[in-house]
Amino acid sequence: MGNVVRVGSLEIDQDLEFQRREWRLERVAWAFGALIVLCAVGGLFGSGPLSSTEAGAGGRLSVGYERFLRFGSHNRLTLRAESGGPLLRVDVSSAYLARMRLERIVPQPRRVATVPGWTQLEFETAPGGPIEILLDFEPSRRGAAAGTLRVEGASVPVWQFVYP
Amino acid sequence: METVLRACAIYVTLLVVLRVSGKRSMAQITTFDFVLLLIIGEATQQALIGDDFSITTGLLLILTLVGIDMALSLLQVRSPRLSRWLDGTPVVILENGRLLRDRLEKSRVDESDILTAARERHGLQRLDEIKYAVLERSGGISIIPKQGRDA
Repeated sequence: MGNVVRVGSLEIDQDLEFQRREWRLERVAWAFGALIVLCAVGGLFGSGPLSSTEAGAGGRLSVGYERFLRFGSHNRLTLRAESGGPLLRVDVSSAYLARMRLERIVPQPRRVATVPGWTQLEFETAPGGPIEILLDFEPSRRGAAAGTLRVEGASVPVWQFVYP
Repeated sequence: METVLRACAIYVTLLVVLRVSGKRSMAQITTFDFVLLLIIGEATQQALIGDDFSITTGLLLILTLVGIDMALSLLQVRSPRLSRWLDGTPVVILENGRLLRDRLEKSRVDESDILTAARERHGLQRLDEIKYAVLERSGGISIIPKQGRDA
């Protein structure tokens, strides 16, 4: 209850000064809200031109991913590489993998090994052709996640932000 | 901890959004307003519990939400200023049969809304039968008929 005043014969806690301030603030808040929606359409909260990106390293390796993710949502990272031999080894920084819950890797790696700082995935490939590897995952931690993907010397940094 | 933080975040966000959308937005004037409210409830539910369907989480959520609500109402009793910011204030939008245009416009209320309220609650037929119309905190419009008519 605010201060009760009299308007004509009416006892009411009307406060026009406050009400005008509220209306002004409402307008500002609407503009802010519209801005958030526009940013969302643009992809600031995932899946949009601001978010989808393709990072490459000298044509031999390229990684397609979303910059902005949301906690608990399903995501995909696409890795394209030129294969030199029957086996292709992809190194993923362990710190990055620790922030993701890997759901599926297509094709399945023939061997997974771990060395300090890196997780190594080895795939069988037909030599010569470009190959595509899909990593489906769910972010398991909020906040910024930085990682590196490495294929035969070429490395690509990946930076993602996970919204709560 | 997660559950409590979720509940706080959702409570504050909903409070701010519903407050800045104006008194009239969620006053359930039409059936669609009501449906919209249900959809908001549905969207909120997902964000509140995520994929944790345990009784513990449910109870914690209820405790947190009711707790915040009680704490705020206690603070509101002590501070009229806070009360105004959280709940708003009523505004007179019609005085002695005369519409207060700028207030109507800013509150997104029009003549027909006032006439609807007048018909529904008092069976009034014309604006000049109304002494005061007040847009209440809840978004509803209360009507005070001119003297001698209700007597």
